[in-house]
Amino acid sequence: MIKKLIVQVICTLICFIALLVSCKPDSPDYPLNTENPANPLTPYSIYHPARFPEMKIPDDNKPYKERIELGRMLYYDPILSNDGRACANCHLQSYGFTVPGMVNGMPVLSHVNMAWYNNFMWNGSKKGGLEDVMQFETREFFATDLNKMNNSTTYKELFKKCYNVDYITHKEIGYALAQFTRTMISDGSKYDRYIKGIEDMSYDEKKGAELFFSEKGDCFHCHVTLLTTDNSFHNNGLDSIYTSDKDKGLFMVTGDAKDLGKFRTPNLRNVALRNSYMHDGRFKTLEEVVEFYNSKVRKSATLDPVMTKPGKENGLQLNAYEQKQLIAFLKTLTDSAFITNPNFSKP
Amino acid sequence: MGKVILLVLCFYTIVGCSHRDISYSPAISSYGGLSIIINHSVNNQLLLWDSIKYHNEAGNVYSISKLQYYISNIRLYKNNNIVQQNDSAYYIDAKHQYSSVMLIPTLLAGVYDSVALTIGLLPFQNISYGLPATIENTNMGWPDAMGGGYHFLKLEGHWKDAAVVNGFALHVGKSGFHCEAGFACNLDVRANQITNLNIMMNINEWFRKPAEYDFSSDGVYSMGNEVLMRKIIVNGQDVFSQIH
Repeated sequence: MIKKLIVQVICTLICFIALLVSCKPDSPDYPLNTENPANPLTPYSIYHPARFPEMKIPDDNKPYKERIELGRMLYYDPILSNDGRACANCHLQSYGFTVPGMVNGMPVLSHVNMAWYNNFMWNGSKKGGLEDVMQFETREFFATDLNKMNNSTTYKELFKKCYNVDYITHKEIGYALAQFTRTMISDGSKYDRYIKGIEDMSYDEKKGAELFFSEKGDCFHCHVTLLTTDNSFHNNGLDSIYTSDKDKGLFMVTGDAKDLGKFRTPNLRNVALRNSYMHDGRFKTLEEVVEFYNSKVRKSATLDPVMTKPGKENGLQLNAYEQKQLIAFLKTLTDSAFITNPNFSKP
Repeated sequence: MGKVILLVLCFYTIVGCSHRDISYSPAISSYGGLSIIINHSVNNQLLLWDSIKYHNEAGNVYSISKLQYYISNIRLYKNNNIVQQNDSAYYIDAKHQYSSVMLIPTLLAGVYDSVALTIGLLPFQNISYGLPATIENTNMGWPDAMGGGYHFLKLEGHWKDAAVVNGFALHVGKSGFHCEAGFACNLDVRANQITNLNIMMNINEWFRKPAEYDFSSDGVYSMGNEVLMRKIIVNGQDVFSQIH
């Protein structure tokens, strides 16, 4: 009798466990690529920093280790261009994936945390996701010679393995670049560590953060939280008249007068490593940038409304010490781990 | 005995594993869905962005360039009794029609005569990083240094101060500064279907009553200014009405 009862209890538990297991929610992992079962790829889980927004990844370009490695290889390979340049020529890791100085009269926007972007370029000429902008880079910016790509045995094999294509097109190149650039995530700055409770900031750095994230400095409306950009466009008062096309910003894309002088909010991570600021590089130091916001803002009909505080029409009117504190905070956004991360370096 | 235990365990396991999606079952005939579609206007004229042509009660000529806010705590009434209450928070960006629609998938079918809602978030929801981590919610963050949580309302634009065009940025946030609004309606939610309720936000109501708002004397920037934020939310109580 007891033996029978034990058997029944064991059977019951087995059934119970089996049912519980079957009821587990769907695994967040996705299967090995089904397009090319002969060459299975390794699913890759992209690191998602705490307090960052959700990351949207297109279903047709799920991250796989091999695709990310291919994208990284392409990023550093001048085969993409017809003049010896690679992406990495203008996006140097040691400068936070931008370059000191300017290229074609403009500072290069940094490649960092782009997984959360939906607007690209200073004037927003490219919209969409990373797959869209990276296809633009290979198809139009570099005008990648597909014959060269397809004559490369190495790339033919890699693209066959990663995307199961016999002929490489700009689409697969852009998709592979998107795979790599999506992993270029910075969340290891001193400020990040302060937020995580790992490291303290100095008194001046904390006061600078207070200025940044309060009405007194009011940087946070555009340079939102940990991303330090709102992905949007603003006229920050650099000019009051717009004679040169390069200063017209979003207007050059939309043709709408209300967009005159509006530019994409740049990411401030590793901002202290740069030496040219704003869309035309008119400022060479952070001191010049802060001085501009402090007293040299120019009015125009499209000046962003958040920059029109009563009594502060020309700027923030911080005292010299507060300006230094603000700069001290900006320097805490330097992410040494990001600019030395071997996963992002030349393979 | 063992068979009984097995059956009970199986039953509870299966029940426990059922999907908890908020969707009404067509088999339950007393429930329907409600889609509240918000339109934005100034005195019955559909809003045209960035057009300095609107006049508020104080005589200011202004335009609107940004209108983003949260709606939460939607309550449906019949004969002054709450019949339905929905705790969800909805992010509204007036520039995008897709984000100006609030779907309540399940509610009791029947006739309702008024709606109350919160513009903004109640204190229990107004916690930094408390809402889903979308880009939109992230951009609505209210700095921790100023109390944390989220912006409840961003109403921005430009106005003519004599011949000069200036900006205004009326931002409201901080726990306790939510706005209670409501409107009468003629709503019949049908069972097993989604009923549409078209409503209108008249932007001029933010400036009208009971506390007339004048850019030239009240100011153009409200964030961190509790007096101005209070004035704005008091005015917000009747910004909505049903479109018939």
